Amino acid sequence: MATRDLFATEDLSASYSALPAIAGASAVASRKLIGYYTHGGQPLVRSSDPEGYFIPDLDSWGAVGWSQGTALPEATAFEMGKDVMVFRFLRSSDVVPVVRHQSLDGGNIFLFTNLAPSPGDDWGAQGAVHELSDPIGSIARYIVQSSSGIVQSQHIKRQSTTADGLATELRADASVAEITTRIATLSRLTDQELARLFRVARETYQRWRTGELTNPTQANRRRQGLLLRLLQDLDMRGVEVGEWLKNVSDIDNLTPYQLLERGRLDEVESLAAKLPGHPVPRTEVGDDRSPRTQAPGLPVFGGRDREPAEDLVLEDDEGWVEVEAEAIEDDE
Amino acid sequence: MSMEPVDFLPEDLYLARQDAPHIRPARPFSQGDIFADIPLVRAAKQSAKRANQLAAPVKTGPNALGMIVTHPCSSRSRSTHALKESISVAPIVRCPEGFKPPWAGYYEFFPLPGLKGGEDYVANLAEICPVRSEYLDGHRVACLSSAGLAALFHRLAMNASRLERIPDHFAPEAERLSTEMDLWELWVSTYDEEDGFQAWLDEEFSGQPMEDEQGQLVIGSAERTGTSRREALRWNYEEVEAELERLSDPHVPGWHTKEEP
Repeated sequence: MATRDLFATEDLSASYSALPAIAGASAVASRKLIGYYTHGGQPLVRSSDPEGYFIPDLDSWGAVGWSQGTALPEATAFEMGKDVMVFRFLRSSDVVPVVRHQSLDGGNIFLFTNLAPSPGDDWGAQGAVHELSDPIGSIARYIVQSSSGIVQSQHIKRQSTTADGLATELRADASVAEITTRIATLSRLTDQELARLFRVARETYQRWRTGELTNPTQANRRRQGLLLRLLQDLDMRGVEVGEWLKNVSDIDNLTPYQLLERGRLDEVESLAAKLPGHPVPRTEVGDDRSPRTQAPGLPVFGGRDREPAEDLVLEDDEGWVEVEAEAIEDDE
Repeated sequence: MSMEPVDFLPEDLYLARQDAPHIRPARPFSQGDIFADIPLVRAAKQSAKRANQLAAPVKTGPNALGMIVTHPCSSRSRSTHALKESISVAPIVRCPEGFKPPWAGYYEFFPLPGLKGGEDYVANLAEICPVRSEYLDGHRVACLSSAGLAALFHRLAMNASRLERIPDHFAPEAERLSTEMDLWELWVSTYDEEDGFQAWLDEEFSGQPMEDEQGQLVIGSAERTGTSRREALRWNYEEVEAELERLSDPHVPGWHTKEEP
């Protein structure tokens, strides 16, 4: 299934309804209603903070201070498409895919799959998702299957954004905002930390992410591409990227993040290459429709059964002249 | 799980290509470079003319094409960085019939579509032969792009060991090599010799300047971090390139020191 189109950027903020301030809560930016999730009809809100994170409402999800995503912009991140959203709780490593079902009075209903913060916890309306009509239904079933696989097979919350098909590599014409947002999501680094890598002010990185600034130098644009490729590769291999970046390596007792700060990308990539990947390689289909083997961190060797059966005949074999060679029995 | 062979060739295979030599004269010879009219040698065999005499088939002339297949770290002296006396070259022949995109299997052939006269050729990785480096001078007809180098690395790995990696996994090393050669080419264009570049590359990098909200670099904002230019080359290519340009033209602005008004 082509998941990429599902995540085509669409700003739905115009359809949000403003919500009243939360009594007794502090450091919470003004919020707008984005929709409800079906289990209990609890509201979902999106902050009007420039960070633009998608958060659950204060009283419907988690404790004060944790669920106030607006006050903790580094704690949540989301990707939003026309029909599908994925939001991630960076602290707990939960990844939640959501399907948009229908509009409702300026908001939207979102149906959660059964990917729960802990096994057995029911967040959503899996049954309802299955009953949805196509094409949303096919998307939903795909997500449910992917998510179910995660919970059942691994009992871990963390899952690569790419491994479950919920997101793919960014398009070649991705904007600065898309690239820098993806970098932030994958790296789990703060704007301040990321700004140091690109030698810009924190506010500048933040404005790159929000699309307010679109004019990094060519060098920083190129560096964004380099970093994104590294992070995507790590993420695809199931590496806890945020943790790995901040663990001390055996190179000068520096962390990969500190090496990046010093411009030592080669060594960071060398460290990354040593990490084990998935135990089994995955086969994917490339843009040219040809199958590609996504090799894991551990080497995989081609099977003999895939070797061509016949030799090719080299016809351009003219122009060779025999020259007598002196036979030397001893190099000395 | 069923897996299919990995086959890959980028659209922008060549950095530069022309039918007749010599192309990009300032660019130091490197892996993937293709030459014409060089002496290619095949394995010796019993002479047809004389008993107990070996004879080696040799090919020369404009159709004697070959590609360097060894990494510069192996084909150049570690001390002087000059090309070694003998370089490993894969003979290049017309593409055999039946071998076409997506170039599945036959890992002993590296496809070179449109290499000469619009015709497709292949580098025969199964018949690599030694060529003295002096025969390469003035004979280059093509260089591979960074993506082309990654594809060559991939093919070499598959040919030598059947190690499967997606070509993307070779991209960092291909970029590393390409950027170093790009800069070395700039050095040779300036100084008309290869010597001195590698030592300069090992010196300390003067640092990455800050960038303001307008996308402008801030004068005097670069700070040294103890990183060599070589270590920083891929992350800071533009800044290292600017350092090289300043070597020959002091009027090129620097970022590591405050400029006089």
